[in-house]
Formats: sequence, C-alpha cells, structure tokens
Amino acid sequence: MTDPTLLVLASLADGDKHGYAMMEDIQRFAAVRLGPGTLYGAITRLEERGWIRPVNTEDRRQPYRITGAGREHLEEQVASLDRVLRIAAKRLKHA
Amino acid sequence: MRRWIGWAAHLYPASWRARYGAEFDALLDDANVRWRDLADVLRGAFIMQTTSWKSYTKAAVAAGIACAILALAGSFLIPNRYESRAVMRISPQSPPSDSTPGAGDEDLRQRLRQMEMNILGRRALVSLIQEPELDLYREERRRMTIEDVAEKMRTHDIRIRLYGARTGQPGAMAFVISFDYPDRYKARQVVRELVGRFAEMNLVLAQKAGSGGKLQLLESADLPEAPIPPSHIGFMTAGLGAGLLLGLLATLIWRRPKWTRPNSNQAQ
Repeated sequence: MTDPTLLVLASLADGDKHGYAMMEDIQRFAAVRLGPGTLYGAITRLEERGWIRPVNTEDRRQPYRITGAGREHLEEQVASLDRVLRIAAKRLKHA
Repeated sequence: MRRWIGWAAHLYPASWRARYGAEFDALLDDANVRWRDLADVLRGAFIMQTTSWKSYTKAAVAAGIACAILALAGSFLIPNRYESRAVMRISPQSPPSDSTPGAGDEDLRQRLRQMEMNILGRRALVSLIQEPELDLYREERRRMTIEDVAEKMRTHDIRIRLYGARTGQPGAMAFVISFDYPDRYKARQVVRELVGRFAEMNLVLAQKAGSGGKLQLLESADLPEAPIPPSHIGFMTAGLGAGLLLGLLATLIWRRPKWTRPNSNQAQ
C-alpha cells in the first residue's frame, strides 16, 4: 500500500499530526518515506476533498485532523484491501 | 540541499504557497532532506501548477492567444481576391403616370428578381464556369461537384444589389453586379458576361410580356486594381474565441477525473 493519501489518512487515524510527524510516522508503520512534495500533494488533495482539516495552532508546523468523511473513506479502503488480501492469502494457500 | 529545495518550493502556484508555504517550509526545516527530495518537490510543483484553476485559466488564455496568432497568420496566407463591378439601370419603357417617388418600383424589382433567377440559376452558372475562356474554380472543381461550385459562386461570389433607389430618372432603378475572384481579369470578364446575360434576359422577358423595360449600362465592368482586404481583425477575433473555448474545454476534461474520483472511491 503506497497510495500517499491512504498513508496520510492512516497516519492521522490515531491523532492529529503535522507534516514532519506524518512523514516519520508513515516511515515507521509502512516503511515508506514520502518526499515533501508527495506528502503535501496528498495533504492538498485530502483537504480539498474534506477528508482532513487543519487544526488551529500558533506554530509554523500545521497539524491536521482526519474528518468523519475521511475516516469513513479510510474504513472503506481498509475493508477493500482486507478483502483482497484475504483472497490472495487463501489462493496462495491452495496454490 | 535545503536551499535548493527551498528554491524549488517557489515553483508552486502562488495561491498554493499562500496557503501551505509556511508549513511546507517548516517541514523542509525539520526533515533531513535529500537530493531525491529535490526531484520530489519539483514534481509536486509541476503537478500543482498543472492542476490549479488559475493554471487552467492561464492555459485557456494561452490557447486563445496562440489560436489568435495562428488565425492572424493564416489570414495573410489567404489568396487575394479582386472584385469587379458594373452598374446597370432598369427603367420602364414609358415613364410612369404616377410621378410619386417609388411608384412602379415593385414592378421593376420583380423584373430584376426574375432576371436574377434565370441568370444565376444553377445551369446558367455551370455553363459560365465551364466556358473555355473563363475556366473558373479549377481547384474547387477537383474536390467539389460542379453544382456545389455553382452554388458557392451564386451565394458567395456574385452579388447583385440595388444601387440607391433613385437614379435621376423617374421610375428607374439602378443595381450593381459584382463578382470577386482571385484572378482580376477573370473577375471583370465574369461581370461583363453577367451584364450581357442581363441584357439578353431583359429582351427575352420583354418579348414574352409584350412590353419590356429599358436596361442601360451606367458603369461597365471595371478591372480591379487593389485586392479586397481580408478582415485580419475578424480572423484574429475568431481565432481568439475558438482558442479560449478549446482551452477551457480541454482543461475541463483534464480536471474532470479529479472531481469524479471521490465519488468512485466512495462507491467501492
């Protein structure tokens, strides 16, 4: 799973994070390092779609929060991936 | 490295920079940026530049300007055309009993229309086009039927219009016969031919009806010196309009997948 928007949503699923924190978190849980351009491309798209929103802060580092719609989208994606993985695992067993 | 990436970040659209610039710079300060991040930021800037509404507007304007320039250049490549014209006067055989201005005009107009219908009929024009000494529309005849060429000649190139209602002679009406063509000698020759056909037709109608009108040539077909100037501004405006339209259409199509993506995802 290397879709940057899903990785960002997955990162925000357990709490608000700013860009650098997301980058570190994603590298930790997915072993994928998102470049700054890719990360902010994903953040821009997610915010446009209303799946994340900025949290008020005085800091230069802007934290983001996943919205209800974003969480719903992430759940759908996870369910879909889970289905695919289960089928793939079953087929591997029978191969 | 940080300096290079900071410079690359300035390639993002100004509106994007205004919204995300400060936090993006904070991320660059925090992250241990590498060479490959430079390529990543350049790619990100390119994507943002090509997917913002402002860039679409710019693209549409650029397409409009490009098309306007092309249309303007194209208008200079259009071959010159020359218009030859002659003026004729038609008047009743005997002066009208009613001396009020305009009396008898309808009769003359009707006679003119009748002559015009015969002279500019498809068969008559086909024979004119094919006359060996004229041999008109050679290029067009290669790609169009002769009937279509005759139709084009009638609707676009030959013009017959009234030349002021009054001609100094009571009850008379003057009209202009004009024809435009890339060869000015042929243009004049066609107008001469049309003048001759009007004279013949007037005689035929006079014999049929028992009383003919008088048809006089006031100005014989001239040899045009200067070509008709093509409307460069018209071409340019049309090009601009078409370019803007095409640009907007192209950008709307380009933008569409992004609008539809959330719905398709939700449907999964």
